[in-house]
Amino acid sequence: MAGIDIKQLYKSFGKTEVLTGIDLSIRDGEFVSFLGPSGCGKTTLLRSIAGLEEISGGSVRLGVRNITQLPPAKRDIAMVFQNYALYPHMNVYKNLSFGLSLNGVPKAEIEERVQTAARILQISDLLKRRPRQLSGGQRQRVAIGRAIVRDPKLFLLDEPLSNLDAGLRVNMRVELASLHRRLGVTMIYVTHDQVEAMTLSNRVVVLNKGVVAQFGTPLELFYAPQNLFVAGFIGSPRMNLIKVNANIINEVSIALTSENLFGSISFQLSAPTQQVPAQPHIIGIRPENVRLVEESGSHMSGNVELVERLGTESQVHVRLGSGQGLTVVTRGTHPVNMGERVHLRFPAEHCHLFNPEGKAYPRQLDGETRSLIERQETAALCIA
Amino acid sequence: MSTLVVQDDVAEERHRFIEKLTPYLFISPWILGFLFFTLGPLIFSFVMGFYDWPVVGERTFVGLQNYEVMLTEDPLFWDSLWVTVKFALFFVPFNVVLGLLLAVLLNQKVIGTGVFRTIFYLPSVISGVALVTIWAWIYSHEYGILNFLLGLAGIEGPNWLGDPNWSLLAIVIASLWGLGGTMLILLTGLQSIPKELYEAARMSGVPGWARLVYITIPMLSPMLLFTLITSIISAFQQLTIALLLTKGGPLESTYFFAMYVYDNAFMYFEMGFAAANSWVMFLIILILSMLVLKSSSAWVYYEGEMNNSEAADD
Repeated sequence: MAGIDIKQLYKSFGKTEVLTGIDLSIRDGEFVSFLGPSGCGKTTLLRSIAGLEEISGGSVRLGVRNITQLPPAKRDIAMVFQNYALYPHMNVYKNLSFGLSLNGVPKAEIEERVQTAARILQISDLLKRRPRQLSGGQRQRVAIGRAIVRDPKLFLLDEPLSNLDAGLRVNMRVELASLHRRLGVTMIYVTHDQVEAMTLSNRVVVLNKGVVAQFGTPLELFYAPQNLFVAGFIGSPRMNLIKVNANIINEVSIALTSENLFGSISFQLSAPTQQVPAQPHIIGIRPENVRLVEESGSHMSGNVELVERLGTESQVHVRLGSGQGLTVVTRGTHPVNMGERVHLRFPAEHCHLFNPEGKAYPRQLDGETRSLIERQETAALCIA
Repeated sequence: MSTLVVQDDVAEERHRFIEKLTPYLFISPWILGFLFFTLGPLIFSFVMGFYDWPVVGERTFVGLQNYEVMLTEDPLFWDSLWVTVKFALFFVPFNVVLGLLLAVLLNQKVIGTGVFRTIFYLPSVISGVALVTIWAWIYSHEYGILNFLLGLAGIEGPNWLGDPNWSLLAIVIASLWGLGGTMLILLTGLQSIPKELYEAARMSGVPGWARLVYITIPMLSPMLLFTLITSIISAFQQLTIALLLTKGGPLESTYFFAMYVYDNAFMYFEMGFAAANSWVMFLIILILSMLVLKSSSAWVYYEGEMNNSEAADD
């Protein structure tokens, strides 16, 4: 087992730069997800770690070894491919043992490793079958099994659940988590599904256009996004973003005003600042934090365009006078109707504030949230 | 009223008939071609084989006599068959193996792959006679480029087409010139193999040769089977190159079975005998193809193949 250190990793395909200066330090035994929209470079980063892509610059270390120049097989890394990449003409046993037998592992040891992996993944009765004769979930297990038998220091998983149907995906997610606990080995998991990333990972790397947008625990990403991209990417429905003017009151609070805003919002900083740029800022507020209130005490008013009732909650789509749309999540039984005029309040403690470049100001979190985030961080640290 | 209904029925029936007929009309050119130029001659030649059938004059039914003469009295039959078998023993493996190697090479991501692919396929486009003319120049004992090149290396080239020890080999080489077709089929097959299989193999430290043996070849086996069978067939039908390059000589060292059939038919005009020869060739090719096909269950892997009993149970 080992942690992985990536320094200034660059990768370009011809003239297209895919990864531009990635710095990452993943701790030994951690489960880390690479999360991002398609084209953000997450799979390329994974393949660069695997050695399947030649990098254009930078270095990769696994534990104490510099593996930058090593061929894939010498890196002590196993990879699970998105489409499983099982050898279709070999049965499951052969699929698991193929690499080992060609690398001079004694027969008895191969047998033992295959049987152990098969037991862990509950595929012992499938060893004689060919991939064609397996269901999607079973194939997935075999693909993971092929990684396990190699007993690697690092597991790379490239969207391993994306080919499974919804129900199976949830099951496999739970199993992957317990597999990680059981093996205790460092795992890197590529996904575009934030639910997978948030539920499985100790920490998540959010990638955007070839750079790390933020690297932190799932709750940190959710409660303290460092920039507009992460704020908009994490959380569903997406965070509402509204343009405002910012004026400094004192070094830990900023008054936010706008011609569309009734009154002002007083944003509390967790770290003091001396001045703010004059250009328009953006406040972000998650749909579940927007409150439907009486006209007095509201920040904005608008008309309800659509109410999506999901049972436990209702998603209310509101069109503001300015033409902008906002989403509000209310309790499922809230009696709001389509066409109705509603008044919205943005509680200051739930607001995120971004400067004109899209960078977040550090905001004050309530004690409960802070301790939750800290607990997740400690848990992630404890693994190492 | 009732007549109207009847008329409707008739019209409907006619309509349905035409509808059923339409697809057959579309494929009729091929079907007619097959009937008149393939199946008809096939049956006709089978019947001919039991006759003494000169081109002009009386034809007489002789039963199995043609076959008897061929197998027991005519040494040329066995000689020409042996020449053909020797040719096939060289041609078939080289055609498949070289075709595979070329395909593997051309499947690499190198600059100019497209140019190389075109160059290697080009000979397959050239007509047989032109190809033979080119090879006649290449092999020419005194003026040929091959011996010239060998001479540069200090080797005195043999009389390729005039020496019975070399003539068959010369024809094998000339025939292999057309392996572009084989290459093309295998190249298509190679490109349909998912690249993740190779990446997975690279990750687990499977060396290059093992990737070829344990991944490429099994995944390519249906195409290999196809090229193997077509190579066997074309080996046994070898005629043009030998006929034009050596006319069967020297000392009948390149006297192929197809040439034997050809001579019986068009030099000696013994159509019945030649028809019987053709049927023997047909049977040999049929048996060989069946043997290969039978063996294929042991080494050919089909992606889509699955017995119901083996089906996944969820």
